[in-house]
Amino acid sequence: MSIKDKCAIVGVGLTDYYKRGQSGVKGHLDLCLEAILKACDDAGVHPHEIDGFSSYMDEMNAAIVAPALGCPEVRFSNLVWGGGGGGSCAAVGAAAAAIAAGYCDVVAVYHGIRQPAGQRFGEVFARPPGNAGTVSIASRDFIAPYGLMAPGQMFALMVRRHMHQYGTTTDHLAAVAMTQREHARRNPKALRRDPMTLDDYYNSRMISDPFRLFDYCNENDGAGAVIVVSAERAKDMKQKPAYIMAVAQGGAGGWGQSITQQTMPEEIYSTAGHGQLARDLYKMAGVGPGDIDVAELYDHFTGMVLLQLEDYGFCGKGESGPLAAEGGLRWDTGKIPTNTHGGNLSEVYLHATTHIVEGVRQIRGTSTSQVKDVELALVTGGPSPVPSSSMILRG
Amino acid sequence: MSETYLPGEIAELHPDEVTEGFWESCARRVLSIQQCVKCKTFRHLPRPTCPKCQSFEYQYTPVSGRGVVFSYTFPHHPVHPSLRGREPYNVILVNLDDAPVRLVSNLVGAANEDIRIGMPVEVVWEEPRPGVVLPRFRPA
Repeated sequence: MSIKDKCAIVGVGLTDYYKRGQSGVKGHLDLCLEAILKACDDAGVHPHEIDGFSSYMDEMNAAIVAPALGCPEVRFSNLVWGGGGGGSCAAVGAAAAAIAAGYCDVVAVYHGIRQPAGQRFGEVFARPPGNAGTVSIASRDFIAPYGLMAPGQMFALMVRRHMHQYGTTTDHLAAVAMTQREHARRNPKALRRDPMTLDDYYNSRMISDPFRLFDYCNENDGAGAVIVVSAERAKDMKQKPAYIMAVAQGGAGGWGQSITQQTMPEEIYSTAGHGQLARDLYKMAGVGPGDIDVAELYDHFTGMVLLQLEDYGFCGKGESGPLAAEGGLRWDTGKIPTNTHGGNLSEVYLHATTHIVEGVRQIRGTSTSQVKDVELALVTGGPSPVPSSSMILRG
Repeated sequence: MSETYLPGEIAELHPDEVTEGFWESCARRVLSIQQCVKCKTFRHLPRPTCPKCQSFEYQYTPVSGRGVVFSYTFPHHPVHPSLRGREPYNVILVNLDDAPVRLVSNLVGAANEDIRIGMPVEVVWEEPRPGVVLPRFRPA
């Protein structure tokens, strides 16, 4: 038994995008509710029809959200473990599984991020102990005294190793940043729409060598939501359904919290940790990388886009840098159009909600950088501590 | 106390039942790695069980403190206020010679630009706060 093609995303909602700490009177709950209501409106679903709630790394659980929406019944609720945007597609997968299993009928999958002063996500391990997300105080002792305190520093270590092994260069990282900026420039909602030249990239300040500022995602507040229903129900609804063809979640057991502790097995060190997900995803979908029309790959950092391109088989190991430099990620002429909204790097950083929404747009044919004749869209969650996740949407 | 590579403000430790053996050994300036008593498999991070045989019996076994640099980065942005003025510092990953484990640390006694993946290193000890002894590394 599989959830293949059993359910569909029929509505999407995003709040306005705010700079970190600038959402004003809109609290985390406000943002989540606004996204869910927009998704309901997009789907043509009354919020009281929602009977399932699924999220990842978000404290706004069903006990808070359902009464706020006035939902008469909660029949399913789920939170995916893990950090950052890793669990995004897993939360959609859980929604599909719950509907297929008969727990519930209409699931809101949502996630918000709000970073008031003192809650900056990128400083998560620099905060006083006891407040470091999924990492215990005792295990934090093995990284923080050495100044390893920020996600960007951790992913920089992985990308440095990839450079050493395969000859990946900062020009390759720049190609990812510049291509996605071009996509953002076509997206009126994107927060970063200035042109980016190679000089601009190299003039951006070094943050954690080899990563410069323009290798980093934005820091934003906001929320996103999607509505999932059965494929049967989706047929007669307002929007063209984006069928959930396959979902994979998890990662290698030994990967664990390796992003923070850097203890992943050597043979998968220079990867995004998505090799196993790609295998399971393609198996469930019955397709291969050559069948994917567009990829929305979680991009907290440029280099992790490259590593995912390899994990999902769009090129050979070590060939992702040249693929990006040759224009392979461009929306119009690229071999595998990637992050057509501009991504976390240039559109907005809302922990993967925007990647799911852009995947749906590509299936509907409504992206601002619409790829021709899209049938299959790959969407990934953030390379992260286990679980990460990914899915294939079908038109 | 002489100046240490990074400040004491970030070096407060919070050992628990499993990790305290690692830090007790460090306090004696001996690098020890958690090892299964039954099947002798080394592991790091410290955990209650052996990932190979699931035994709860473990010990901290002294190792030579020699290894090679597996990767590195140079943070230029002081994420913690006490790091201002220390940037760009280095963070290195060290694969130990005597146990198949990888440690996060810093390289001292070498300029950042001289750090290379694969370079041999050996442990040195620094005490950034009274009673907190950290393993750092220098070129071997």
